[in-house]
Amino acid sequence: MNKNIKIITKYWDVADLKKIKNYESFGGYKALHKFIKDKNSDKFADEIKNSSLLGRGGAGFPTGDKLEAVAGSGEKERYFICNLDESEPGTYKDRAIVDNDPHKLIEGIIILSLIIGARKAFIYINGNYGKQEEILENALEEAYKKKYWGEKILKSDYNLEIGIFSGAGAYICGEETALINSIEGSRGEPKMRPPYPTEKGLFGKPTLVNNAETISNISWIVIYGGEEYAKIGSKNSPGTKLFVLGGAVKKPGVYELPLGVTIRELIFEIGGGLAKGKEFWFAQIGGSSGRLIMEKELDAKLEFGNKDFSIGSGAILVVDKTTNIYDLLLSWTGFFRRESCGKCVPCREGTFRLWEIAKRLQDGEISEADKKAVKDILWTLENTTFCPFGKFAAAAFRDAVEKLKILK
Amino acid sequence: MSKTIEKILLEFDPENISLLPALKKISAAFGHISEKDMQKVADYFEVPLSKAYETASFYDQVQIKKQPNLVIKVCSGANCAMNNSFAVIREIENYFKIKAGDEFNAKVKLEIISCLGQCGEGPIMVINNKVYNNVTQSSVHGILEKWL
Amino acid sequence: MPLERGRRIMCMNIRINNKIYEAREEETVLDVCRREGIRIPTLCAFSGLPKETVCRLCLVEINLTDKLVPSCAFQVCEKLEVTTESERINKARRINLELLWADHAGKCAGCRKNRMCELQNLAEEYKIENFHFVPRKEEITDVEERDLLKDNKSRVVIDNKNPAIFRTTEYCIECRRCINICPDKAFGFNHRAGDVVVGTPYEKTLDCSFCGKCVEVCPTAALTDQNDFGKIIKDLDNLKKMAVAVVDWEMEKGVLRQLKNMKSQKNFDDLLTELGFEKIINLSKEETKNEAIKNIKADYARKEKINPESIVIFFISNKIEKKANKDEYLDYILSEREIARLARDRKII
Repeated sequence: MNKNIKIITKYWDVADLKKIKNYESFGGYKALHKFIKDKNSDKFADEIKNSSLLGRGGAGFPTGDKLEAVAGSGEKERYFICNLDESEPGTYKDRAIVDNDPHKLIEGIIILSLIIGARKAFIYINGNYGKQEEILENALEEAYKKKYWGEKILKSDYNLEIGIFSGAGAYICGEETALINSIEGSRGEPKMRPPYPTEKGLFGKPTLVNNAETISNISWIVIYGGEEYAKIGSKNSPGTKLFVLGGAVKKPGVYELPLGVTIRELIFEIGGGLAKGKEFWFAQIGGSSGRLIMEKELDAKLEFGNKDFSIGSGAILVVDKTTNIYDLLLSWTGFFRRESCGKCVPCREGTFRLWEIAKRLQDGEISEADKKAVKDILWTLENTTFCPFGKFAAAAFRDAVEKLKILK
Repeated sequence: MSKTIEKILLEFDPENISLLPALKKISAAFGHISEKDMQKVADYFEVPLSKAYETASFYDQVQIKKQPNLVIKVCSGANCAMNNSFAVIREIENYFKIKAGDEFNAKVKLEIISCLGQCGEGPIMVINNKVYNNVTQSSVHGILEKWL
Repeated sequence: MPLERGRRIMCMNIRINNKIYEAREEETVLDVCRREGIRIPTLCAFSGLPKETVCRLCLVEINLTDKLVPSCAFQVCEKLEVTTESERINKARRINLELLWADHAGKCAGCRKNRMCELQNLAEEYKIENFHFVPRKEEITDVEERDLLKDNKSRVVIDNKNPAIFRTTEYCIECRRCINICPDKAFGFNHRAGDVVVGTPYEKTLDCSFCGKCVEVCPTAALTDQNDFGKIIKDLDNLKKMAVAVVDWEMEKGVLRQLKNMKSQKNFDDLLTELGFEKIINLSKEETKNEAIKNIKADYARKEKINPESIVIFFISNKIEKKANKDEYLDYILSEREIARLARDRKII
């Protein structure tokens, strides 16, 4: 496997790509020119489908399928939303995209919007990303002056309006139906599916919501074709992925690697192994909602569709043996106890109770009743909640119980 | 010097899509949204007061209560937790004799937050929007004293 | 095939617990089960209100997915097979009930909603006895109290200042029925996660038209009728005073329905007599509309030659808005729920 192939980060260190001139000098907006020249939405929709690109937000749903559902809708009015509400703890890859290469994101947004026939696109950005909002505003303005979006894009008949919508501090708004609720001026609670956003999304219209990293792959696919893209990475999970390495590792940071790389390679080759004098205990894959991976599982591949763990947001936390596990438990449970939307019983009550028990664990006051309660709460979070948040809230705690034996 | 709420509202189209941005802006301008102001928001957007309030109360960046002069936030995300952010939190709790999350002290409030994406430099502490990184149990006193 | 508004409604056969039932498109699994008398517990679902699917008790198994699905919202479709009882379903219901039960356990005996509470009924049905979880909702008003409580508790909001509806979030299970039914949009689903409080903006005293619909739909004691029961009982028992029950149109039906829910049967007039009412005046449909009852106290006093001061008029009616603008000739307004409560407290039922 060629670990050096870069799609998203290729020119990050080469030039200041925030300047549209620099972005263009490295082939930027060529994909948009190509699209406008061909004016063949179906063709590019097929390219994206053939690329087998999977959504990078965490769920790994095929982007081509989602796109097809919106593009093929009978409704005339459609929307495109770029999900930049990155708020998984330990994850800052989307922020890095904006910091380093905002135009690649914008170009992807424009192309996807035009493919699905949307005339209005939104960038839903994490409310804490004030600086990134500014970068995007400037980049959008530059792109607008160049007629890359607005009325009559590159003198064609295509029109597109792009607006930035800044979130207001709520993790759950990264879930696409909650995000839509939030734009509509409501509480950011997930909505019932079906109907899926691709049928009835923003303002009840078909809506395509894609993660910022997913979108950043689009210009490459348009230029080089879906088949080429599908050759990169692992067979069922093509392309590269941004991983955010953190914790007790020598070289923390954002790394782009082909999917299929092993956890061991990422931590010990790319990240330089553990910091001096520290001994590996476990790694958490995918942020607060991620599973815990022990030493003997490190050769597992980082790809979508893995049945043992989900790569989620791509955040990888390396935990060494000196770490206080009870602090981590309190960190995880506290996060979900604050961020649950509060709508359904098992999640609202369950996340509260897990946090309560984590506090008692830290104080060394855990009772037999608590131990039994943990089992029940984890089970109901995994099996009965309204949205996947419950499963997320249970994942790390479950592994801490089963793999780290915290209740023994 | 400061804008009136009416002026802020007029910056927005009275449509649902502008409700959250308007709430955010008013909260930022006045520190929080009072009952009277919330009624003005509700009237402007033609939504029930209960709807404006329930939306506002959902989001961290919209305050519905007057905030103390000193608002301290400490990150407890996993990266910061690994660097002893809970020790920092306990230190602040003892220093002010408050508990994280409660609202009994009119002068100071301690909030636990979850990741501002500056994970390499944790623990992260934010005091009235000023960000401090690599805060330790021993360095926190010096920082707090500057704010008193 | 039945016709509805001129449109042909599709019918289909679905399988529930291995028996075949006919279902109409657009019906939910819960609709079919209720129609066919198959019991599924619910706390948030309420006929005519939006399907919130938040209580997660009506979960069932189906042949189309491994996941448990909420029967209240899941629409029937061809070849659907539903299982409404299994070990897994029972486990889900038990755990979610236990989570809700934490703030109710041990409090029933003194509760306004005792024997009239949907959560209590389900807790009994599913034999929820474990005190797995300590109560988490607490009225915390100052620092001292907080320090006494080891864990951070969630706040409780109490409103006993409005004339008709007593509200306490201690018993609220956040089912959203009140939010959805309120014609005045008085309530919201406020805050987030474990801090959610269903109530008025800024936790203000309720000021609405007091139609009482929220009290009617509340499954627990979070919303109950406001009245001074101590004073009512004193007046009922006062030998020097004549307790007159003025019964609003169709109230008999309502009261008997309440009794039935409490698994009790009783003759209505006997019930009122046993409660201590000495005279019962039944109003006709016409009489409730017009102003005829205005003089009811004076007329009755004249007729019976008693001092009006010695007469106490209990208006038995669900028009609890009258508590807000009480007409002076009505000493008390008692809803059907309050009659049932009185009967329960006086151990008549």
